[in-house]
Amino acid sequence: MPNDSATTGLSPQQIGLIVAGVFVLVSLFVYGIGDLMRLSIGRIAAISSVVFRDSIRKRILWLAPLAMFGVVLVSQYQRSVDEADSIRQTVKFCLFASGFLVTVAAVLLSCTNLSRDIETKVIFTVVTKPTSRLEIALGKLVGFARVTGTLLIMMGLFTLLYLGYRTIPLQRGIEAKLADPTLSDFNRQWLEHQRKEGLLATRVIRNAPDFQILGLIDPAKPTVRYMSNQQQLWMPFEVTPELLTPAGIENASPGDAGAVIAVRLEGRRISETEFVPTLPDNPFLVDPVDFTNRFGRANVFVNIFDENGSSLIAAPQINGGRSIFVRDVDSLEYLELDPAAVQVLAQVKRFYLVLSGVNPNFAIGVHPQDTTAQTAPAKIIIPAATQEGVRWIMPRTDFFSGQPDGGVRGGDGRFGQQLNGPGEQLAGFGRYRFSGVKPNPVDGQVPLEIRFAVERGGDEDQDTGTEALVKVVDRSTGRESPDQRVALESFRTTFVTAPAEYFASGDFDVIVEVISADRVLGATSLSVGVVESRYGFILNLFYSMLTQWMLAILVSIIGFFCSTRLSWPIAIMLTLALITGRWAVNQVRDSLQPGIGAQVAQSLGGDYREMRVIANTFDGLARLLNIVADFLPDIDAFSTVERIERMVAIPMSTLTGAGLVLLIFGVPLFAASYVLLRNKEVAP
Amino acid sequence: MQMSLSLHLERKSNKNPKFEGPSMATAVEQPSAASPGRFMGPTDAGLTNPAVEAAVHTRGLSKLYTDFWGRPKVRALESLDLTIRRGEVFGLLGPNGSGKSTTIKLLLGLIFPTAGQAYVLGERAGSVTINQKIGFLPEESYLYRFLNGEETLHFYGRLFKIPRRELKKRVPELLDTVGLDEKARKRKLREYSKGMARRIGLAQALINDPELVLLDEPTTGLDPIGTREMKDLIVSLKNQGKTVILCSHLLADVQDVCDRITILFRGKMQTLGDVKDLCQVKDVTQIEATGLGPLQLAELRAFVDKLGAKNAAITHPTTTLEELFVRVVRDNTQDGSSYTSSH
Repeated sequence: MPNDSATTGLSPQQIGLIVAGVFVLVSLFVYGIGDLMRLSIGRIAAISSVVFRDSIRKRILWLAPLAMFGVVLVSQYQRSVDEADSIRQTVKFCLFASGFLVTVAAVLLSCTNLSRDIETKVIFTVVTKPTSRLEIALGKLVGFARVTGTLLIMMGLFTLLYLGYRTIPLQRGIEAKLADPTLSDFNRQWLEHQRKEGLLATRVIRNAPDFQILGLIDPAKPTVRYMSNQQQLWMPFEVTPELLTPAGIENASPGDAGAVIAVRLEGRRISETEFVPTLPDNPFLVDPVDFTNRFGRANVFVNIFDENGSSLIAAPQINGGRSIFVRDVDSLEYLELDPAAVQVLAQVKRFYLVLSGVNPNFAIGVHPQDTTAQTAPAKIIIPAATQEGVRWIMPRTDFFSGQPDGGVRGGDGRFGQQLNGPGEQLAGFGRYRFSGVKPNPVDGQVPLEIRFAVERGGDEDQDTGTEALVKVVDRSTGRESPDQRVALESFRTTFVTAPAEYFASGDFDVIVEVISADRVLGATSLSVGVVESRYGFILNLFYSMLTQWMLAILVSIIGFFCSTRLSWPIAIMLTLALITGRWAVNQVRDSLQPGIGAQVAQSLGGDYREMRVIANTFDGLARLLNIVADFLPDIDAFSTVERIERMVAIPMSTLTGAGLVLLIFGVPLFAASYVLLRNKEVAP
Repeated sequence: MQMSLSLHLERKSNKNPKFEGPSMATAVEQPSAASPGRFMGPTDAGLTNPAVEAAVHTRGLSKLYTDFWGRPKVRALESLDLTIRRGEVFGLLGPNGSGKSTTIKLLLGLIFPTAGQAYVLGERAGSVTINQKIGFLPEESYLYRFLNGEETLHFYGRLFKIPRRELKKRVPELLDTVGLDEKARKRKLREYSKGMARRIGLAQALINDPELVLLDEPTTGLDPIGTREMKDLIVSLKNQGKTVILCSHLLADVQDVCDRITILFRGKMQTLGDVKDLCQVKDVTQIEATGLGPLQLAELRAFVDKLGAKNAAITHPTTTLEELFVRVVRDNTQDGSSYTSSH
């Protein structure tokens, strides 16, 4: 995200946090110091007890058995592909029911409790006792927390018992299936794993932060990233209008002198048989099927995409729409960028230069470790009036450090990046790069879990399954584990183990190569996981419930805050808006990225200044919405369902992340509630 | 048979004698017409420092209700200067909308004044700490209806941080005092009759053994015996040295128990003073005599004229508080509008 507060060095979020922190300090420790000093646990407990009893009177706790009944009912109609999926669905139902239940209970309780006390004037007999507004606010919130906590305990116990009950017949089913001699290899290894580990086995899974799909892996050149015509190389750039303005020209605007893109690539022939050694009889004729291959050379198309992956610059504006030819490792090619294209780049500030291989017979290598201007894989050159004024704009530095933002990607598939098997095209390699991960081996082996979507082929073809080779490369030594041939099924986990010695350094790559012809996998960074350690399901469930409880407390604070000044129906509406606001903005996040202004401006056309006004207006509005959303709580931080249903350990970072959101949003809102309540005339 | 005679002699020909009130030199304070409720200085109510010494002391206390946009809507109380001495039973009277409840709410911090100050037991009104010494019975029993009588008292007792052991002792005593039997105290408040609700409301007001008790319409909903018991309780509280502020429409009750009263009308204090003094009719003389036989009755006029009656007692007759109240309200309703009209 661009730094909008360059002058202060602080982002709007940081400024917001500081303001919130100062507000909390002033409201609680200056304005409310008297109330804070005479805070009584006894009074808070008394008020919370009344809230709890009120919820019992309202039969709120009866919602728990109702939700349980709903879970049991829905579970009867679930369609599962296997035993683990059955458990996964049941866990999902249970957690959805408990999360929904406590959130609704928290909204209703927190928005109506204070309003009703004021409506019925019961508040008269409470505030006329030696009870401070701080104690009232805390007592109410503790009461809400007690109610939601009780609901979660009930739902947690139910989940545990119900899962235990459901596991028994499913385990019997596994035994029965294993007795079947016609069982496929995939299913046998899968069922044996489930029998051995149990259906509720939970583990700590580590995923690779750096995931790329490469066209070729050359152990002799470990630092070179190769792509084939199935992949694209993405290089992130950040620019400012000033950077794109030619120096030494009076009143110049960005792009007045156009720009030149310089790419330094390595073309590497990978298929002798398909290589066309001679020119066609008539070099002016183009093969209608494979027109790009007429010279049998590596060629690359260059595109410029915005942060959403949408094309930003029309093809004719880059090198006149022509591809460039890559010769060898020293191939340095130049492309012209139209002035109009540079003007568009000046609007977005951040974009990707995307290279796509065209010729299937060649891999295109890039050397991302070369960070000098002379050897960088790509740079943008802005011409100037003098030699000294010429600017070279380099890719963002994290591109060189192997971060996932940028690098070689597979084509976009329905379920992730496409990792294709051999066929007419070159097969790809999924490279999952782990750093600083030291798994606990079991019997000298480290378990891996592999779960891809099979986008084409696979399950549709009953005769042949999808197979892949998996190996581990220790980056510190360069040693490779033997290839393991594994069977894959769409969205089903394959369990693999590899000798622990290849994981010893903690820095290793897991390489997945599809060997089944014409198969295409949908791969994400989560498709390959290393089992770091075992974990207890009960602890995982407890963490999940704890996270839900934190969300319920946050919802209660928001609801209470709204109800201090608003009637309960409006308070409920506002609470829901505040809770879901950020999530809602996230749903349309793609339309609110900084590039939206440039896209709109480009589609409307006009001269540079008009386009800039349009782009800035749209970007400003999008930024405003984003900033507003950033100041709302991120409820995604409380999401644990996806992990627990996959029997993956909820990491402590999830709990601390949820706690942090509760702290950052909850405490200032609570302080604001206290200030509002203290200044509120409770007599209607 | 002993006979009693009471004869009224009017100095002025007036069927509806105008209230004049006692002189300012007596214990009665009379706010000036020009500036109603004007603060009367350090000698107010005979106290040198009323803000500290008095049970309640207000100075220019005003409350203006505004609408959502901050525009003035209702002036509920206007510049009230009032001092209530410790240990007295004080009646706060006035028709509906006169500012009685507003005054009580201001004293309890339920609402905030637009102008002026109010002190309760030496501290600013609305202070959380001073609530430790206050008991408040609202006009209706605003209590949690899902709790039973005992639970209610335990809840309010915990707000006062009364130790559990002491609460176990005090709660049954209080329930006995207000006349709620064993069966009643186990029932939820939503099942209580209005009279029972008043009793439990009174009990919660007394749970902390308060120094100052504010009773808003305490006898509403009570039967005659309950009303009598309430009045006895108020007298008993006075005898214990507690200050009681009574807000009631039942003027006979007020007259029975109050030492002093004030009558508010349209947010302004109209009169203030001792009940006995206020109820005296100054322009009428009353002669009371005992020991007069039937024959002497015929000669009464001449007898009086000659001032020859034995044991003659010449006093001012008293009116009822109700008559006083009606007269004050009527005198201040000059435009013929309803006495409860908004202002």
